[in-house]
Amino acid sequence: MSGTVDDASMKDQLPWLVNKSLERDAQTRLEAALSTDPSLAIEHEFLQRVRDAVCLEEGTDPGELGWRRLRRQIDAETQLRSGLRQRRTWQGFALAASLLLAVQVVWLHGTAPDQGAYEPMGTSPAIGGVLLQVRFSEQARLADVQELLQSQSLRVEAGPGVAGIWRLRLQNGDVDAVVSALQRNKALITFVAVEH
Amino acid sequence: MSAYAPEELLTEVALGKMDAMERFYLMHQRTVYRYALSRLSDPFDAAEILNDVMLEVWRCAGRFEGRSAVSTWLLGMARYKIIDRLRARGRQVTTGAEELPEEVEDLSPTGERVLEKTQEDQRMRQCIDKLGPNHREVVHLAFYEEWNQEQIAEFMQCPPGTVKSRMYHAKEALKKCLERLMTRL
Repeated sequence: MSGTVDDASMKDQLPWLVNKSLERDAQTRLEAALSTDPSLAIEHEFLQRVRDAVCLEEGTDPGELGWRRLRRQIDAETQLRSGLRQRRTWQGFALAASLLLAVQVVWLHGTAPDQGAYEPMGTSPAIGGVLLQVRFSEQARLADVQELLQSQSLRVEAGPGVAGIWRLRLQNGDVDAVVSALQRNKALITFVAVEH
Repeated sequence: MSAYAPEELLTEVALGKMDAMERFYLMHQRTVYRYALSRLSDPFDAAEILNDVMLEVWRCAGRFEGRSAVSTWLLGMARYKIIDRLRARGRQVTTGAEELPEEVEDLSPTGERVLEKTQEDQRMRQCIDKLGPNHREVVHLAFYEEWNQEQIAEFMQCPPGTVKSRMYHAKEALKKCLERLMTRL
């Protein structure tokens, strides 16, 4: 019984003898058995034929042609990435420019009263002729923007200019209240300033 | 061909060096192509798999962690792509369950010819191509890649006993196929 098990076990190990991946002890044992057991030797020879056929070079692999094809794809992908990178760089510049503009506007707006400039009497600034500078979020939908402008009595005067700035005319209402309302609406508005 | 080890080449590829990518491609294309061919039995499909694998190498060379040989990493990628391709076509994919040898189709008689070794090899190849995908994969990995039983089991994500069993069934199916061919001569 055990002889049969050993024989089966040896046959199972033959493929690994053929591909030379057996450990040295098992290899030695199996090679010794091959010289005494003809059925094992026939099996071994058969597996060697299988190996020879597997390693037989049939047809041609893609080689240089395959490389050229891959190279074209890589080049196309690299160009696409480079284009996207340039676009991102431009967007960065635009953002920087708008921030600079915002700082400038805020500074002007903030310092103007201290310099003793003329201000009309009353609790709120002039109504009707005030211009606002606004930049909309990239995700803003036209319908939402229109609704916001209508609700705040704003009308598009011009735009978009450099860095995506729009000029809006406040036709009717309290400037500070409108500006606050716009500033609160961060989903649609990313920048608000009063134009002087 | 190159003094670079595959791992070094991958580092260069991760830095976007095209000449390193070319060397890497030429160094490993045959391994990937032959493996894909052994699973798909179609040179065009095998070339597609090779292209996809190498494109992924270009994109993700930095992800190679050195936990396996480069060729194992490549064949692993190829294996998943082959499985996806077979799934997309609704063909049999590796399930881990033992499969029976597929029925070998009858082949046309080749007429009276001298049995030269080349012809024997050709007939053997025909029979190998008729094996089921799991059996063909084990035979390829054992005799072309010369991997041991444990390596194959790890790669195919199955117990070593399954590898042994698949090898046994592959061998029996090949014998049967050859017998049929020989009786027609």
